[in-house]
Amino acid sequence: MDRRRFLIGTAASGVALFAGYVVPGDVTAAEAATQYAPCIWYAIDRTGIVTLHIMKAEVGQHIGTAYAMLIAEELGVDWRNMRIDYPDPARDFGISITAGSWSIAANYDDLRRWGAAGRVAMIEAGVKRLGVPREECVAEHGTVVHSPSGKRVSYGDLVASGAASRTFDVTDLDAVTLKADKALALIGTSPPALDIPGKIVGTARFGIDSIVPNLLYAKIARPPYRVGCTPRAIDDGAARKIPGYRRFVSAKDPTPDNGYYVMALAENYPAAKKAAAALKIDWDEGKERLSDEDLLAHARTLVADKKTATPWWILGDAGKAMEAASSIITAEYTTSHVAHAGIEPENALVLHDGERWHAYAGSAFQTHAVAALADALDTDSGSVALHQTYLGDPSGRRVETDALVACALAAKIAGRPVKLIFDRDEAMRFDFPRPLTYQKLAAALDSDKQVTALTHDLCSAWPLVRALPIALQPGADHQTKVDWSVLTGADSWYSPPNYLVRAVENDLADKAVRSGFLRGNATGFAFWALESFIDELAHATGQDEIALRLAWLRAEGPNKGGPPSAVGGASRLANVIARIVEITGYASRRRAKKHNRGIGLAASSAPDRAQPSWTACVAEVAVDDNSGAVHVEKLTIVSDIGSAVHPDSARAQIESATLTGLSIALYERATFVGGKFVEGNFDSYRMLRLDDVPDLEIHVVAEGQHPTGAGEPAMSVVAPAVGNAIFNAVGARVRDLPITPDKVLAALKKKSGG
Amino acid sequence: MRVLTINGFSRVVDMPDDTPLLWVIREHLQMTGTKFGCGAGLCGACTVHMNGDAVRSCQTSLEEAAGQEIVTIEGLDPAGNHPVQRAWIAEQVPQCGYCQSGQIMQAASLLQKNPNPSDAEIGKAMNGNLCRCMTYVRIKKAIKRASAEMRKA
Repeated sequence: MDRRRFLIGTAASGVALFAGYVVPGDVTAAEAATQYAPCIWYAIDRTGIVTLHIMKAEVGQHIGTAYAMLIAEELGVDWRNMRIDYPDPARDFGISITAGSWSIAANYDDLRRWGAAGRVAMIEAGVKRLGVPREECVAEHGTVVHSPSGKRVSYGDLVASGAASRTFDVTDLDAVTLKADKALALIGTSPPALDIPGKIVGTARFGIDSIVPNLLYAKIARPPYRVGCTPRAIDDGAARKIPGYRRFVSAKDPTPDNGYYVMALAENYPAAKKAAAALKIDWDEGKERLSDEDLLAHARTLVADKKTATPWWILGDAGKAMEAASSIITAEYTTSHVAHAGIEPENALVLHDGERWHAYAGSAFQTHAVAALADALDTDSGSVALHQTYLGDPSGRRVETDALVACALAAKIAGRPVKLIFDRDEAMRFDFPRPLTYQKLAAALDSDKQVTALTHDLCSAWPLVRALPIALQPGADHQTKVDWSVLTGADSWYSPPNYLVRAVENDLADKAVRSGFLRGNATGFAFWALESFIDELAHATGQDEIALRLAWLRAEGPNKGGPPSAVGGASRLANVIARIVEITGYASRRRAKKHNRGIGLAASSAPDRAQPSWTACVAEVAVDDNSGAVHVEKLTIVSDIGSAVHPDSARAQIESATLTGLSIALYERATFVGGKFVEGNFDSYRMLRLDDVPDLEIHVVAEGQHPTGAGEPAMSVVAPAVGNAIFNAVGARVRDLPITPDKVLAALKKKSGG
Repeated sequence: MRVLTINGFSRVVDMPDDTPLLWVIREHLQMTGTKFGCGAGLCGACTVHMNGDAVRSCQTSLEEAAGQEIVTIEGLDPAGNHPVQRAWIAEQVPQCGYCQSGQIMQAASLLQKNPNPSDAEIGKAMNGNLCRCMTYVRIKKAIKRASAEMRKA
């Protein structure tokens, strides 16, 4: 985010000025008379209450609470006087997206500066009012105090009298002094999260809770296959017998997400659902009938062929080292599609109020949602208001816009407010899941069995090609565009003598499935492959797996790291590995042979190189060699997140990410067969339940570095730690996620068969 | 036409008898604290109390619910001050929060019947309530906290 764009001081007169930049609709005249907004992000009212606008999606990370803390800390107001809201992004807040565990790391400094700017403005106004020297005044508890005399004036009074009018330009903001670390009073504490009270009494509003008068309910009648179906004829004779049914609509999806939406509209949702099932639709069913096996076979061919590979990360010359190798070790790793499976099914409510369109939904990518709505409604984005709600989905499904678009099309055609709700079956089968991946790793060894090169080929669908091609970025050749969302993490902080990571687009998967973005993105499968392979490599070359990792973690060259978020570089990953080895007694327990029990380790720098959280995991497992069942007894996590704005929320996110990582490691699989996803509900789509939870021991390392994300990194280490532990327990190497009992049995069989 | 008793109030509902109680509560009566998750009794997000028992309102018809005592998250405690709710605050359980009404109703029903559940009993009672944020560690802690508080009282 470019804070320079957002620096819009708004004076009490209601005039919004900054370098000639006027924000339409920023502050109304009525608002301006009652509040002072030093910038677009927050305002102080006449009673001293500060309201901060949260443009992030609240998906359980309590981001509003953390942001409010950053403002309160620097502005100098009491926590109890902070409020948050989630405004319509039509006001120019810049690009609103919640993803990648970026929310704290990317905005930590800017939010503090905005808070501090408000404090400066309040002190200046207070100095004028009190008629005292600036240097004798301080701001605390929402009050400007003249220390020698004890004279004081509250922020609220300064706002009420119109005394505060300071606006800030870029230079002013850069000149603002932030509190010294040791003076921080609120940052680093854990006040109760602001979004929680409504979530325990049923008043928290999710998208699905939106209700307006005169609603029609929409239910999509889905085609038989995920892609490629077109309705030829629709007969609603049977549907018309259902009480409450009004009509059907059929509309082409203007986005590349889906083909057509055929929807039944009724006066209540059960009737809409019945009617959708009763619609007789003659589908042109297209020709796409591919399955996971086809996508995998295609990936294997593409990777072997190398023609379409683009370098993503390069150290030295791995190709030359491979040619000179005296032997080469290779392994293939695969991961299944993974469903988002948020408990709140996708939904939206769209209406036209005579002037503008209004959409009510929880979006994780509001900027994109407004643009998609404008396209679907054939209007400009200024004519669309998106009313943000809470999101009942921590997995990232709501960066997509399909429910909003379908609902908007229905509302426009029907001429009435429409509320659209997916049922669970379509939420599962018409998801944009984490892509199926195929990864091949290879190591070149010299005659002394020393590793001379490491290569990592990662083949996956590229969801950005569908969803946001403008966001594709050049690979390491500085030329060919690649989808970083399926690659981040594979550019690891290890320094083998030569290193080459290549990206391969599975174009067949792009066409056959609509894959997307799931919490953790590539780090969920890149580290699975890399961290499994490093253990395999250590075993094959007779090295200690910890020693091999530490030897490759040197803070030099591109792995030196640097400010703001990666100070210390590779040495910080080495540090968390050393710590977890010590905490768990890994070395001695690894040597102690216990029947069918094992301990395994993995490490990760997720979410990405710019803002790495340094995370290590040790898994303790018991394997039943008759059934292949894996019982994960304990997971220990050490995660260096720099520092924590709200330590309890950071810990909650790490708990969540660890268990989600375990769920994906052992259970979760969306199976694509014959052009459709097999699993339609939570009976066939298995996820971790309360009884499956192992002992968790979480150590958060927060030692004063710049904060990084906590919501995703721990997801990336669990699967490889469990896989490595299984190998250490029974000598069976599973290379395919999820690690189900049949795969463990197959690996055991392979081992005993040689 | 059916009469529902919800949170102590009688409400007349003119919807087909086979309408799931969930949709009556959510869309007709506009009490949206009870959530739709799976429509098949597999996730627990729609859990309410019927005569004190935790039931899945997506699997309970209007006809079955008529004349019974129904309690939703909005009616668990007039001030949101049920020991389970207090424990949920103390342990800061909710993340996205969507499943939590169901989790709380399930836990309240468990503790009503079994004030001192073992780990295994908590597992058995709560296993049908999915949480995509996987807040299970805190759910367990909060149930134990509420249990201790209720036994003290």
